[in-house]
Amino acid sequence: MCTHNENKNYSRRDFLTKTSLGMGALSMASMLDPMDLFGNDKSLITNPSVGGGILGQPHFPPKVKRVIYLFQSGAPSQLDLFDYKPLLNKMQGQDLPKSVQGEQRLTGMSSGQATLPIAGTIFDFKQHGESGAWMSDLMPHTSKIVDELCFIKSMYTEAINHDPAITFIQTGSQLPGRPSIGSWVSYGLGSDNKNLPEFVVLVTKDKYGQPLYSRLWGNGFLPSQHQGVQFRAGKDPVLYLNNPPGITEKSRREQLDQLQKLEKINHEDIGDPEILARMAQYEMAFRMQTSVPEIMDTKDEPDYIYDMYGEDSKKPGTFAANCILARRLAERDVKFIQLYHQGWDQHGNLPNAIKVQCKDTDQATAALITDLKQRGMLEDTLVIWGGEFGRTNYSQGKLTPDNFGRDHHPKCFTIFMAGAGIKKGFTLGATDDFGYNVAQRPVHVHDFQATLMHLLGVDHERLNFKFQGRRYRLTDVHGELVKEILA
Amino acid sequence: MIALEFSTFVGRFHPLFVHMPIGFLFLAVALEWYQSFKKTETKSKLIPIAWFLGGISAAVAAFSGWWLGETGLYEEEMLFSHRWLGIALVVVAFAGWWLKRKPNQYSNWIQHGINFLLLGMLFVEGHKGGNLTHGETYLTEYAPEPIKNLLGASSEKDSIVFFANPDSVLVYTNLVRPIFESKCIACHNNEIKRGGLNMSHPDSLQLGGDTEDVLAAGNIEESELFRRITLPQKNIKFMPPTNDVLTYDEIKTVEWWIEQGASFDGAVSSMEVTDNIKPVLLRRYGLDTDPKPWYETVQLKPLDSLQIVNLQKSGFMVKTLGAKNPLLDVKYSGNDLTKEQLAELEKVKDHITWLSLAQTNVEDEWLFTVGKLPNLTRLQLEKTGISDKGVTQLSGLEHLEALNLYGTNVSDACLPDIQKIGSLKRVYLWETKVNAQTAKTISEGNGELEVIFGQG
Repeated sequence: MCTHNENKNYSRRDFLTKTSLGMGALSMASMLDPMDLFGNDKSLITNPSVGGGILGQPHFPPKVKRVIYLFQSGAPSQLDLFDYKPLLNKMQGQDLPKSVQGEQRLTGMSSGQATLPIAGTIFDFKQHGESGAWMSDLMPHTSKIVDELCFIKSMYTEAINHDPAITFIQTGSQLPGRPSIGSWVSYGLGSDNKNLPEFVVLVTKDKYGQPLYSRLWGNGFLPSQHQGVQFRAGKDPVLYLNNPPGITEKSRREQLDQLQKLEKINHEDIGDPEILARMAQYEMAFRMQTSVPEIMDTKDEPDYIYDMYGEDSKKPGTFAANCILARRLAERDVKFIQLYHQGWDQHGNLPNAIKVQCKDTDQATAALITDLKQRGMLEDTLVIWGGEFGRTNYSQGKLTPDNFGRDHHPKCFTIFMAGAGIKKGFTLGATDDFGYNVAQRPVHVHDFQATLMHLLGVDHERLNFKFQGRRYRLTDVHGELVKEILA
Repeated sequence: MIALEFSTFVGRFHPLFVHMPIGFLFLAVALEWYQSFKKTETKSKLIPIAWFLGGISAAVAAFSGWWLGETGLYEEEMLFSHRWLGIALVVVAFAGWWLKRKPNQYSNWIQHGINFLLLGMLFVEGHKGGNLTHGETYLTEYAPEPIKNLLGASSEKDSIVFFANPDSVLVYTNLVRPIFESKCIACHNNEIKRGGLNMSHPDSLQLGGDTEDVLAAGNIEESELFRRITLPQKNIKFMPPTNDVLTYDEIKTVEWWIEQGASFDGAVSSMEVTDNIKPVLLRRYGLDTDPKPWYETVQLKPLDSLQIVNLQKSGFMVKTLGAKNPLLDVKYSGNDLTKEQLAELEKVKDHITWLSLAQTNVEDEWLFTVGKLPNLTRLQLEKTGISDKGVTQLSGLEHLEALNLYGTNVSDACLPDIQKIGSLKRVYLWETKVNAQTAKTISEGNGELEVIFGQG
């Protein structure tokens, strides 16, 4: 994010820093570990073999070394997938009682409706596994692995529309401009594999719906090498990564070496840290010219793996293919792998649309978790599945016996996780009988983020960045650890 | 029994009758003061009638109140003062009637004195009755903060303490006794001893009451105390008889305490934490009773950074687990590992707790070094050429919890060696020569050990 005029290469701040304090003070500052201020947690390892994060070492032993976040953009209907509410079927078509709705605002899409007819699910719910988790028939594969999962049924958020809500859950703020979770992780903990970025993004191809912007995986005010790098399906997985025709690897290397020298002079002159960030990215890109094709070439995956992830997995760019890629990235120690799958925003025609979505994602999600488990990777990998908010218990638009829609609902939604550091076969929290309000153990988006950072060994209150006069962190001034789900 | 039921029936009219004397007596005083304000010559005949009716109705209220008090549903101390003040009020009301019948015989001092006395008693008595019925905080619960402070009412609603760790929490003193204090001891203490039971002290609690087996250590069926708190609520023997019954979590806590021997000095960490009580302890007290992983309990001095740098120079990726944990997470990547490099690990052998040699060229004999890492809890050897011979080198690892052998050459012959690692919780054997059926039998033999095979 650029905060000052690009035409000036010398901002007021740069000027003040350079003239009043000088480079001496700057190097002094870098010699003194800023984390010293927070107690004697001085990092033992001053010379990490690969790019260490700002923390040098985690605050406490990490349960999770890497995260695969399967983000379901558009908000999946918890009432048709996980949150079984038979009362809604009994009250089918009746107006939602005002006492249940309370003060909750509605979107402009359904606030004008004469009635808010309660819509029960038309899908069958059953209990699965030893944990007895309720799942609808829409997710037959995930249903088989519920004993590996930890559900939070009492998630709630503050935003009621997609963009602010996605921005909120991904960056901790509804307003654009803050660093994404993956960027914070990269900034704090650094890399375990110098040939790949710490934060990789995979978006399902040819899905439509609520738009996704690259700022969702942006670095905000953090140094820019911490932004998510999007890998695409097709000839150029990372845009502009390959050498143009006629440029050999050797000449590219020479070019970078010369550029390095020039930029070094430039940095000594101006002192802008973004110069270093850019050079780090050039070097990373150079190394990725070798490492990325190796990742993206999935020919060495045996057929039974493709069978496990489903037939879609052979088509590059599908959610299933991305799940295989996510596993390959995780095997190579990429710290934060963020998938996006659009199309869950079912204001109308929900019963048909949700089937398509589940067909896209169910088998591959279950396969990913099973595959990670058999490789022993659930020992230190966390998988998260969830959207930005929930959907209403009443129908948006006309309610017929076999068709209805659901509007946005921030007051409750369900997410699930699997992997290291959390309880297996466990459900936290509950909604009321109407599936409208949280009845037990509300978990705010910031609480979820705090817990995610905790699993990575980071105290969310102690990883922050000073910007425009104050310190920021992922959870800003909020966030309570959800202890109940920790194993 | 019938007598008790009938007296309770009578007693429950108390809330109805109790309002009548209040009305009559207020009316009597109000009338008299109105007349003295208006300076009328003759006193109204209504005044003594109102006093008389007040006295009669107060007597009825006191009578029914007596029986309501006998049901045992009320806290003894508060009940005592309410009861006897009520009876005193009856006396004062009749005394008032006597005085007011012939108002001219007594001085104004006496006339007004008894009015004030009566009003004061009515206020105090009414307030005490209200407290008995609705609880002491009823009146002030929603008072504005300044008024609350003025009255000294505390706004604390939940006084459950959250504890730090299970070692320092005593089951009886910290968990069970507070439950007894809030729900039982008001009626079972040194002074009152309902049913002969005094729960205020461990010794007296063990003595029991009219029923001797109040507590049968380790046996909830034989424990009268547990039976009483879990009877159907309508049963006359159900305890406590107030509406403030034990919650699910409280019952589970008491149950667990008795099951575990009803000890008066045991700590949570010295009890067996059953699956039933675990979520209760976590939810109610924030007590995490899961055993901590070994790597979080080891106390070691941090290495000096030179040792770590040396290890890094040998080609290992080295990290400390965290700021307050000096143990190491060590990893080697690549196909150029040598025996000598691996032997470098011995220099910091106490500190290595996670080790990954996955996808390296590590050989069976080299694992000799790995077998000598006393605090190793996680070992990754997946996708290496390790065979059964390598696994034999690992049987001396005392704290190994997870062993990843997926994609190696191990076969059924390694299973006995794996079983020798008593601390092992998970072993990954996907894509090996191990037979899934054979492996199942070893995990059945050892309930703690999970053998993970793949689907492929």
